[in-house]
Amino acid sequence: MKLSTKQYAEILDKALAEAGSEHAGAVYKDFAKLLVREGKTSRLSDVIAFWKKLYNKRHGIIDVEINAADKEDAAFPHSFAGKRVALTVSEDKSLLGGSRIKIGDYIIDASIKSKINAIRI
Amino acid sequence: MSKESIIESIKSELKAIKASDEVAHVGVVSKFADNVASVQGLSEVRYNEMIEFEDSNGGKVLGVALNLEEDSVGAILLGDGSNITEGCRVTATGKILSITVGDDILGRVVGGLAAPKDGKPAINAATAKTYPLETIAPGVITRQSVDQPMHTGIKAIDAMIPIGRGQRQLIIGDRTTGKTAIAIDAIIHQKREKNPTICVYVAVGQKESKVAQIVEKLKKEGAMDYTVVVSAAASDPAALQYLAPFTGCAIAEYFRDKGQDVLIVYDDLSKHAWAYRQISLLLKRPPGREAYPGDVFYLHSRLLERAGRLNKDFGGGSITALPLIETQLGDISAYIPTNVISITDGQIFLESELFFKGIRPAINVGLSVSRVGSSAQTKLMKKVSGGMKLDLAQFRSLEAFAQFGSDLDAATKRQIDRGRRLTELLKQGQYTSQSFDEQAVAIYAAGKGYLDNVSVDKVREYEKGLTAFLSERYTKLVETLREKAAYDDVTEPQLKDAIADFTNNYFGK
Repeated sequence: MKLSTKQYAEILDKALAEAGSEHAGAVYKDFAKLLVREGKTSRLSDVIAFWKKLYNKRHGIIDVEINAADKEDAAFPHSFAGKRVALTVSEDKSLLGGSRIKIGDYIIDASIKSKINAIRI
Repeated sequence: MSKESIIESIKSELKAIKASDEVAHVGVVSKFADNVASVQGLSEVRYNEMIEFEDSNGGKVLGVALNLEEDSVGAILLGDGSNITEGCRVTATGKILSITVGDDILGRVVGGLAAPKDGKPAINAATAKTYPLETIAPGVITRQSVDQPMHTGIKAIDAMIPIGRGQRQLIIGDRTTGKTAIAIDAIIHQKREKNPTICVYVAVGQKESKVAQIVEKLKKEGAMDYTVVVSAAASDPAALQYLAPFTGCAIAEYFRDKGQDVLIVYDDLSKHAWAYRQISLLLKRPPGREAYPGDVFYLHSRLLERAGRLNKDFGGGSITALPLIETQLGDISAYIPTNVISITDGQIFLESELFFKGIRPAINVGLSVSRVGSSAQTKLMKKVSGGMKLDLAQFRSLEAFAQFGSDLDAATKRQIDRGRRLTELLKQGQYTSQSFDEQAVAIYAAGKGYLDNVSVDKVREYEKGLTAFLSERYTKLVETLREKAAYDDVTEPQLKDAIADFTNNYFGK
């Protein structure tokens, strides 16, 4: 039977949930073996991306990425829209000022760079 | 101007700019091949929504979301994809695939998404309207039956396979049998008609040189004033070839909604089906018969359903569609031809054998039908052409015996002679359109036997002479025929006398 990306992700998710954190290492090893046996190693990145979605959904987590001109200024509440926030902050001097915030599939661009670009004729 | 005032004016300019924080719905290209991209993210994108790819050079390329899957979005690119890389950002525009169309699009040559292709300025957006490419066809309540003729200026069609305003008439045949010629003749003829008609010519997968030639011809004949050419040439992406007919239809709908009559030519739907097959296979949709996807019938039926005539309450406009289909070796039972034959209200079947025999337009009268056009024919044309199809059918069945010559009985011989003259009469060169009254007079003369004593090679000369003679000596009668299109106890004897006068006293003298 051919398994879809979604099914692989679900297998991984279920196995991890059942094994608990102390046996996670063994689950990773078995899962890698499964992928090798089925010849689906090329799908690994897709599977992990999908698994991350499943994991976030189950635990009520939302990914937030902040790209700020100054790392020190970046701040975000711990919970957003009733979900726990997993925050990643990175610095990008080329933004000149302000920040670019990615919440799920939405980007709020509040950087000085984009405002200057908007003025440019 | 002082330094201070310059600074002040710059300040006020800057204040006027409202730079609010932009919120964008984004995704990332995870796979890209053959102008088809798989995008991660864009979780709330809609089907047929326009999306923008930011390529590695900072350029923006438009695309359409076509496959919404659980873990990714399948999208096709509508432009140059040579700088798209994995990881490129994709932004949803929030707009369903649509075009802007206004009155100034007339006379223009535009691409598959109505962007100018003729080097002239863009369509004036201030006066233009936005029309979606995909709309639901007009419903039952809004429609009216076809009852007005759409003359093509071609005798064989207007007499035997008449087309009405709002009809969908297929033109089908092998390559180089004159399909495009008929469509272009019909467009050019519209300038001679009483009711003005807007024409849209959609070229799908055609050679750029052929499109250029057609545009040049339309310009020369003065037909570009009321025509729009939509061209997605063979070198354009398959996605644009797939969308071009829908763009053409949206343009036609703009004019129809203003209460105008529109004639739209799809040249041709075989290549359109190929483009759609290519996209579908690249999107990994399951192939069906001849590797076309399962919804290729729906692709054409929803396009052609948008043709039709609206009733007075809805503006009274109409869209007449002339789709073209290219067959391989005359095989009309292939997948796409049978589909489109069953969708349309009739077909004009062209045969290469007739074409090379010199019968042009090479219409096979036996296989060509018009299912609704006869109710739209003028009374005059209907009366005079009534027996013609039968005469020609009988001629074809007897034609094989023609070589026996003198051994045939008189009745058969007469029928063969009549058929030969009718066939000769129906020959018509390209770009020589005739108004319906000219056609009717010639057909009347043939039907009443005035041609029987004219030798076959003189038939066209006779016709030419008759038209010139009538317009010179019987101006009033010609006018009556043209204006009233009536065939009654008053006009018929007059017509008869006039033709007898020409035949007996002038022709050949």
